[in-house]
Amino acid sequence: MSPTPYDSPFNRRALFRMGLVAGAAVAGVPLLSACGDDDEQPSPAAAGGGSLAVLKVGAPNAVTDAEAGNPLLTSIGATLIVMRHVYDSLMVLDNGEYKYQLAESVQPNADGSVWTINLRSGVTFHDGKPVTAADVVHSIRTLGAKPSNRASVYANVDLAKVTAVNDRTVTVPLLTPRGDFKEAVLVVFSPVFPAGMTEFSKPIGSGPYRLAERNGTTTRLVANEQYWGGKPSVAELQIVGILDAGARLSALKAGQVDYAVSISSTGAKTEAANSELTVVRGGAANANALSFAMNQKLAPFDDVRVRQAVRLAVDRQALVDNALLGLGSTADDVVGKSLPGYADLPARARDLEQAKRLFTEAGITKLTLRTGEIVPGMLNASRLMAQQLKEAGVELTLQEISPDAYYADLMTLATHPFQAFYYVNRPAAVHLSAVTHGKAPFNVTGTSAAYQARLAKAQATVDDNARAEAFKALQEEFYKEGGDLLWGFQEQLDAARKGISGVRTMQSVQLFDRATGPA
Amino acid sequence: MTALGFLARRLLATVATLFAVAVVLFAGSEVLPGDAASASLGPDATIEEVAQRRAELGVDRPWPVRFVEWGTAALRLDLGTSTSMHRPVVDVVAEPLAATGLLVGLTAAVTVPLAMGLGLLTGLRPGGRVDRVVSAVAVVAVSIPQFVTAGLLVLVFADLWPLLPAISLPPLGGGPLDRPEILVLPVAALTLFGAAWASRIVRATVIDADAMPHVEAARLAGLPERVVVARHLLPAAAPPCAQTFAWLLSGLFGGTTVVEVVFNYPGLSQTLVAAVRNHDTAVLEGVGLLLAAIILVSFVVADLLVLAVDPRLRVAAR
Repeated sequence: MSPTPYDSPFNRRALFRMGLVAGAAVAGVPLLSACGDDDEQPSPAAAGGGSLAVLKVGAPNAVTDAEAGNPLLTSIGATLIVMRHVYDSLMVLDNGEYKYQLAESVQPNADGSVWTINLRSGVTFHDGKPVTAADVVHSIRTLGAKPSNRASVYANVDLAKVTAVNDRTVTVPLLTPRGDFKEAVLVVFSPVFPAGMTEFSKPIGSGPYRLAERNGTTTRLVANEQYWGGKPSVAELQIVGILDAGARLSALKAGQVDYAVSISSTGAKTEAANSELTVVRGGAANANALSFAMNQKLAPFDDVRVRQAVRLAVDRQALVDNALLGLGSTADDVVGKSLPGYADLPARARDLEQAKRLFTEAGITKLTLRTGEIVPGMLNASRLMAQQLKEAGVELTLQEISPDAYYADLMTLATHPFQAFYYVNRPAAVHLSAVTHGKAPFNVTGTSAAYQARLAKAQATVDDNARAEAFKALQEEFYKEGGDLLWGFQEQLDAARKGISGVRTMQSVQLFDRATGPA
Repeated sequence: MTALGFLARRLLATVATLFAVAVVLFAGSEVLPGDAASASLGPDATIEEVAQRRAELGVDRPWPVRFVEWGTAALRLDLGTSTSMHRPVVDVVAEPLAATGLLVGLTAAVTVPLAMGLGLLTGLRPGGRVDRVVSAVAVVAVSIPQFVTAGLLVLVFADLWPLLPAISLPPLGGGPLDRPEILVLPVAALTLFGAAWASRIVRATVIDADAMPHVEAARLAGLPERVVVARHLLPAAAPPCAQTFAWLLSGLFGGTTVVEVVFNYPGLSQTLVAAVRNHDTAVLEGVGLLLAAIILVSFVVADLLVLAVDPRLRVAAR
């Protein structure tokens, strides 16, 4: 019952430090046709379940006073769940698609230097006032300036010049023209709150729930019956912070909560046969992407043959089966599988003979991997990879680091040739933009200046289809010659009381407004 | 030396110890990897942004300057501002500290009489049947890790035989006392260990005191056993017992963390976990300093109790 590594605050902090937190992260190649709206969602009745008076959710952290309903301080788990229920955003990634929420359309000018947001009409805040362009201007300016946690998302927005043209239209000038404004900014984080709201002790949004009350452990949300997207099927949501994964499962089994967010893989295995519970698997779309990152700037990985040899020497299925207990899927060296804009790269098969040949050509017999239990299973995966490389004639030495110290020193990360790493799986274009550019603190694969120039060009491409193609070309380049040995997707694992359904997931953040119980 | 002088000396020693604790706490959080700046900046911050935030938080200044600032503020009971919650540390920790205090207090209220009773029962008849049974149980209870004990209690009393809640959720708008059943399993888990441990020490103390000449003399004079124990044996055994219970209290304040995590009890452990997650050193240092102060004061109180109970020390103190 001790905290599992998955639950450890150190890991979560590390995740946060990486800035790749679930839900922080959403976007990719914008396909306008995919920008539908929520009206197409099936109603709860159509799904065959019944509405619920109360749904209690066990989340991995408690929402603090300051965090409750404060979009500037959202970080992980419960804070994101509360934020997503209280506020609507301009755009979201829902069920693997980019969707407009409060925005009705978002259009660039010819060179992508100014973007025009048109708002959906007839939406009101919890206090009955309409959502207007002035509210959007205020929200963007507040989110983009300190002490906002997400100021970096808006770093390229000329905040002072964001303007309300009329009641329903906002223009957003950028400092550098970008074609990917929607997926790289609006989809990532764009909650809207009323103009004049500068502190969030009594948060007002336009979302399906309003914040009713909270204590040190539990946050209570009540349904906004007038919600423009339809009356929520759950009248009251209680988000309960339960730090330990084992305790969350105990609470679910004892009936103290109806849904447990994030359980351990051993817990999922143990409860698979329990007829009272359903284990909810997130699939690759809601997963961590696990990698052994090779820095292309540093020897011996500056030699493309060595990178290719390592990628060919590992048996990815064996890694997933053993290190992840089979609760995941194999990856093919590029982030973004099951999400918009993925280039659908061919599965990378093991080829020991080719790996041996490449290692011999490059004169490699020994390698060292910096690793640690930064996610559960990473150390086992590292040990297994050492055995697999041995079969290819290479001796792999493991240099184990404690998870709390793993991300402490950016210089160490930048100067180690080979290290265990993980990313939140997000659309490939967003991932490449955030992690492989020259100034990214976690550009541990050391992409070249030429690559970064092509990345900047892709980002600036305004035409949606042309930009999608440019990002696909970058993914192919990364697939062929890049530095990540991305071997597996570790799925988000939740558990629910039998009969609970209709829970949606936005990049590992659960949405309960359309959940239903046993009919 | 007067009793007042004794007290003054003890207080002085306490202050010195507290200073040493403060130095260790401050040094400890200095060498912790990572910092509040990168923790608070979040997604996709660049190295330049982190450096700028460090300057804003003032953590880029030399440590002696920051230590003196922090230390002098702490003297005014100002423990600084939480970098993650943007509130004074004192406000942040007040409620969880009270919840943990309640857990510790209830555990002590059950453990102290239980340990005294068991210690007397076994210590007065060492080697007897009762002693052998109680000692065997106590040794087992002390050697099982607390998270295992707590997990077993959940398994038995919440899962197999659903009498009590598996986790300790206070009602909305209320504290643990508004739903007292949530306190039962955490207190039981802590008591099992605490009573087993303390009763062993009380037992040894009672055996020692029982062998003292004045106790033997009282018995030979034909005083009833009840009077021998109450008037002669207990006062002799009291000083080590008081010290033992002061140790117990300090152990409980540290040891509740594990039990709080298993039961998700709304005490200091949750505050500490959140503080570690956000690299909120102000909260970590503040909680550490407060706990150290509480523990040190409990030792002073134990000393005073001993002084009140044991006539020999009062004479010596004069």
